[in-house]
Amino acid sequence: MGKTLLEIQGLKKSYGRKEGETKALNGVSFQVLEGEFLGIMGSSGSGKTTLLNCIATMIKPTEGKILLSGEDIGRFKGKKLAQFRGKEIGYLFQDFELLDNLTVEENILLPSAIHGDSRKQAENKCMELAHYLEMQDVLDKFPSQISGGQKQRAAAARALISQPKILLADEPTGALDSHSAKKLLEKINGVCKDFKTTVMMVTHDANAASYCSRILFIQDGVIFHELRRQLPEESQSDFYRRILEVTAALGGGSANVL
Amino acid sequence: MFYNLIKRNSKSDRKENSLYFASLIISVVAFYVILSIENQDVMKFIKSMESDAVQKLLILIPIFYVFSLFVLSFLVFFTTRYQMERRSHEFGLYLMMGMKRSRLFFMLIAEDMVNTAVAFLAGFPIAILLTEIISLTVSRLIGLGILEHHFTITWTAVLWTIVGIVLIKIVILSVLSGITVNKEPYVLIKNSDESEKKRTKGQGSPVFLLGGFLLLGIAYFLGVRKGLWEQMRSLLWILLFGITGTYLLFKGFYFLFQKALKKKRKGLRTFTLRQLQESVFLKSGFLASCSLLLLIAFCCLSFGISATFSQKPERFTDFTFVGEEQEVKEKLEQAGIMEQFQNFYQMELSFLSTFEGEHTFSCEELLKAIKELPPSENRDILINNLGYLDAPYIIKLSSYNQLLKSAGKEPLVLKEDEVFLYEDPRMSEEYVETLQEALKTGVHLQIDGQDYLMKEKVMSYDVVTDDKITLMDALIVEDSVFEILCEKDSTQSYWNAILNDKIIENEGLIKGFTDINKELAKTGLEYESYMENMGRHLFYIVSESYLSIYLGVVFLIIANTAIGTQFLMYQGKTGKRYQALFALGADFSKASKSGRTQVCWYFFLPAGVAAVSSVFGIQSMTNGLLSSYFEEQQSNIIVIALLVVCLIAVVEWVYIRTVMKNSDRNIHALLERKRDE
Repeated sequence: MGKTLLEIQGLKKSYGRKEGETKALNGVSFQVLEGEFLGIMGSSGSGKTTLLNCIATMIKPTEGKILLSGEDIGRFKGKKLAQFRGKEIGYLFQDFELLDNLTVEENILLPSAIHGDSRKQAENKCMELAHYLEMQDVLDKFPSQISGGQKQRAAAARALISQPKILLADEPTGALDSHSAKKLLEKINGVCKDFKTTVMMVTHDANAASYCSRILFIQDGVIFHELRRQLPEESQSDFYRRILEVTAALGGGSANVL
Repeated sequence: MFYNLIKRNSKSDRKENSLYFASLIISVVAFYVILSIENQDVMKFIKSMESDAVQKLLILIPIFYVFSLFVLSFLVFFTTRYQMERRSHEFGLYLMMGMKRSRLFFMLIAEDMVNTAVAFLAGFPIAILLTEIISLTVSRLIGLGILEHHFTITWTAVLWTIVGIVLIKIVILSVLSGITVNKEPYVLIKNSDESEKKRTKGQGSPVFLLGGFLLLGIAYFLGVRKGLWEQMRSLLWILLFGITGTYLLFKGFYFLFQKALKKKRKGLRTFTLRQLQESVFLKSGFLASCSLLLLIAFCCLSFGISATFSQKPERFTDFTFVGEEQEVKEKLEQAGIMEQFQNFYQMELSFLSTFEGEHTFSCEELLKAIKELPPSENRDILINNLGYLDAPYIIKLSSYNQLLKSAGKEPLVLKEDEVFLYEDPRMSEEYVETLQEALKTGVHLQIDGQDYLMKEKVMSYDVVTDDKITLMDALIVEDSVFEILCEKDSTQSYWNAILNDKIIENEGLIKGFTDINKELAKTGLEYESYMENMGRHLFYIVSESYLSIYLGVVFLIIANTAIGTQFLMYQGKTGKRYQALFALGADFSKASKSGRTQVCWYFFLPAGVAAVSSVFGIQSMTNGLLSSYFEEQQSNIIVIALLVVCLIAVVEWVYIRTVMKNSDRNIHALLERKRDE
């Protein structure tokens, strides 16, 4: 495995004040290595999405540091912050967040347009991603004219267009049927291997998590357990079984069934 | 608790939709100003002289009032719907929390009534102050005595303004609130946007665009033709072509955006263009309507304001008395009025009767000279008019020179065998020019068998102050010739008088005149004064400019507020897109810039189309609608009208800035919300 890409040190995030204070994250520390496909699992309200949003700089942590390639992203401001959001990370939302009045191609090219990248290069990259994600024929369509799976793949292409160091995915299969979900996860796994992009995915679906190479379990704002897939000898179905065992242990099993 | 909620909600409505609230206040002001017109000093003054005409004008006011209420209801409907949609989620929650539908309905009506009351409280003081200022300014400008001014509140105007606005509000609110509260809570909470389905229907746009240009082109072409207003049918064609053309054009803009989208995409350009394309396409009918409203506003304002600037009738004779010399002079001296005149002279006229062979008269040579001129409309009129000239009036040279002296002109010089031709001052400049062209050839006319050379110049200073006598054509002859030709029986004695400059300086024009008029009324003399002339002029100004400015202002604010509100409504509905932009790394400045560009174009498209159309509209209006009184000042009016268009551009800019600020605030709120999530 490669060197450390992302390092989280004692991350805390609380909402509200004094008596009404809720601690969404209560001192989380871990490292993500380059090229890794990391899963974050936990029950609803465990703090997994808060963690992802802190890394994506969508919310400010109360305490702690987030270092990407050794740089503290909490200190980023203005242009550098916008640059970080658009170039260093790619974000995949549960409900796609495609702009419904832009065509798929325009949606994919939007980040590079925002950051003023070379148009030619962006268009080439767009074609490459469309080819990889099997969606060349829907580039001219509007989001309302394509399926959910295609929408999420379009969103993935948009997240990857500026070749981010890390792809953050928040329940990317949450709004998809099982067939589309499987296809998307295979593609994300492929992106991780073929494009050497680090992926960090929040999910509560054990099946989706079985594509990951490592899984962190969060409960009540702290890391509670870690699972590592034994590659290459452990098969995906064996890993899936192990994940189920841990989720069952995480509070008698019933707490994780949503 | 419930009343506190109403109070708080209505306050936040005012803040959220300040544009609408401000428009409501301006509407209150406009309604009051027009409804209280009867009590304006200048109106009272005109009424004392032209009471019939003023009565007719006052009958028109209720029609204007009802018409503008109708247009205002368009704005009220529109903004109320916006408010309802914006707060749909909140209403859904009230229902879910167990509020009865009837109570919610009552709450919505009560909230709006609180706001309407606030608009009245803010609007009426402004309106009353403004009417006072207008009244005083107009009085001062035309020289009415300010001392006679009384502060007045026209209670009927207050009443009708309240009745009108409250009525349309109640009707529209009842309908819209009724619809809203009867929706299921889930529908209200979700407040789904149904724009999706319409999106792909814009395929045939190049046809729309071409059709729009074509129809508007035809309307413009028809509009600038002369004699348009006499033919009802071509007027209807213009309306049909113009309105359909505007609607098609706005539908066709989709195609232009599509073309623009093919070019380079930098920053948020694609996003901005797509937003505009969608918003313009989805609301093309609405924007076309606003554009037409703006067109009416532009035309009315330009026309109204420029009519105000039209020149006062020239003043060189203040009074004309009719009567024998001795009687007139005696009565004037007795009343002590004579000393107030700086000039008093007789305008001696005589009728050259030829019917019973007393005299002979011929102007064949002049007719021949005119017939030789290149064909023109004026030439034909001249041939027709002069064909009937067989017994002209003659004017004594020394009398006419007195008149010229009062007007500050050089006196005329004539030999015994020469005459000047006098023409009615109401004839157009071109008419007189054509006549002078014919006279250049050295034309003679014959009176009693004797030749008289007609001088080249045609004189057109009215011989009396108003309309005691109207001379179509007359001859100015040398004094000795006049004595020979005049018939003592048909010689009428008109006495012209000019008021002392100092009196006008001290008391103002109108005060000076009204004072003397009071004295003159006691003498029983038959007379007319410059005031009647002035009164007619003021009547035209007031009726033409006051009403058009009023309509212009009402339409201008209604159209602009509707455009602004529509934009903000659309922006609110597409808020999620902005949040997606922030998630993709766009910062506030980029999103705000995109929002601002959208605002600019959203206003520019309807206003731009209206501006182009108004160039033709104003020309057509000045051609056809101006009273003949102003016709000779037409070119002047067009120049002022263009200046007014620049002024309107400033108003548009203020609206654009306000909506831009609102847009920034919305975007900022979206950014904050994204962070909070």
